[in-house]
Amino acid sequence: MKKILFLVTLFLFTGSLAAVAAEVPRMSQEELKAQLGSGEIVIMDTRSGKDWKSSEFKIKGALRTPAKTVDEWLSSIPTDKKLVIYCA
Amino acid sequence: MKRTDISVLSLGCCWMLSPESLALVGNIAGQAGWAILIPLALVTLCFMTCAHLLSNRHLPEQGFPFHKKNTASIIGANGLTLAASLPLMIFSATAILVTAGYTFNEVFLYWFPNFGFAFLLLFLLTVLQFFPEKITSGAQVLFIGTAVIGLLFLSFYGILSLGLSVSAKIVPGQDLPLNAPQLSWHAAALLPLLYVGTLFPEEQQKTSAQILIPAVGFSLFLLWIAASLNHVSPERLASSDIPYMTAARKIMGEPGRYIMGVIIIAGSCGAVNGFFVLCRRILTGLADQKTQNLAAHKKISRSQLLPLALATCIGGAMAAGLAGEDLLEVLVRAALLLWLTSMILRCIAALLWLHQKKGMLSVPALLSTVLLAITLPSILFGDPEKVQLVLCIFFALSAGLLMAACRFFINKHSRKEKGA
Repeated sequence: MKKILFLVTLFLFTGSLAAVAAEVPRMSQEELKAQLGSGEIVIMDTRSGKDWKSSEFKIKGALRTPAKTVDEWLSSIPTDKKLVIYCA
Repeated sequence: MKRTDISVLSLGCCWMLSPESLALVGNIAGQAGWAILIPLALVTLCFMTCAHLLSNRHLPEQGFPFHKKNTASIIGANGLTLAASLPLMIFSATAILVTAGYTFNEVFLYWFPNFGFAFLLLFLLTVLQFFPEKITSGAQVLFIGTAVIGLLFLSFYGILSLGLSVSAKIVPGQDLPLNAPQLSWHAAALLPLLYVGTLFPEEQQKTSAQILIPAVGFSLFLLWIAASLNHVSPERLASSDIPYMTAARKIMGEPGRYIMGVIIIAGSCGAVNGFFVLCRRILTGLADQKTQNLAAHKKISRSQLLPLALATCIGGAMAAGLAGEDLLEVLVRAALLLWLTSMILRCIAALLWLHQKKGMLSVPALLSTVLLAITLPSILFGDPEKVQLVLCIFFALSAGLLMAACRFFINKHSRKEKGA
């Protein structure tokens, strides 16, 4: 029984590591700040629900583009600019 | 104050200092302005009166339902208890941990993933449940104490730094501005949801400290509302998703953000740890549990499976992206409503039992129960997602009753086998 409890606890911990392990191209805060207002980037805020409401940082001028309603906003996204996706 | 009283107070305050509760009080204060104070005081008195009723020494030791227990009443009572507590634990903990993760990422270490922190907190709080209750209770006092001290500091700083806001004073003969805050009935009806967790479970209610919990909450809310309204416009408070952070930033600038960050993380730990402890006690205190033999009773109270099962559900909800769905907030509201309903039904059962068996009738308790009961339809029908809310409540109740029924018949079957 103790072994099972230990394994399940370990599994939960491993799950937490998975949350940090994903490799995606990223842009730093400083890089983004430097390009804000330049007109060369479009910021897409894909957060929704609690991910949106819990965050203190909502970038001015960012487009709210939740993943569930992609069909509604996809055609309005400019294709000639750099797209920066702000996600949870 | 005795150590047990401090422990009871810190457990009872677990929800009140959570980010969910602080956001709710900020939004309602923004909508209503200073007009929030009288209904908030009234709701506080109602909860204190109900706590006093449920701690009545004449009530039977076996707890809810107080009348003679048959199969239907046991399954009904247990089902409602399970429906009121488990969804609240799972869904509110999911929302709270996600908020804590964002707070840590945005206030302290922007390179540390917010979900990573949320999972880390979940892991640490789950491991905490493996320690003796003395340790978990001590940790609870630490979490809540930190949040209280931080909130008091910011509140007093906010009140003393400006005094009473000029905008709050009404000049005689002058009309109120057109957009003056007004307290709507729906906003007032939401106030009882601030006091979730102050009346859990029966064994813990027979202390005088239990009655003080709503008063402690009211004092903290009063000071925080005063500080917030002193520095932030009501419109901003009402529309902000994180009014506590907005107010903290206005009160003290960057240091205020850091202090509020500590309050939110400590309050989140207090809420999740508090719900873990309360859920374990609730399972131990289910209606038919006390009639079983002492060994089985002790076995469940020491069981680590419940916190592990709950943590797995919470972790699964976070990993599945429930935090990104609007459904999560509906589930949390449904769980809060179920808890409030459960509390009101306990009060009604206690009132009936005391009147029928002891010839006692507490008019203040009766009025308090009726007043709280009136808020239920207001909250339900005033909700923007009322259809989803009703469905969530229905499914939670059904699941609770099903679990209670399965548990009852499994226990009955195993008792028969042992008897044979």
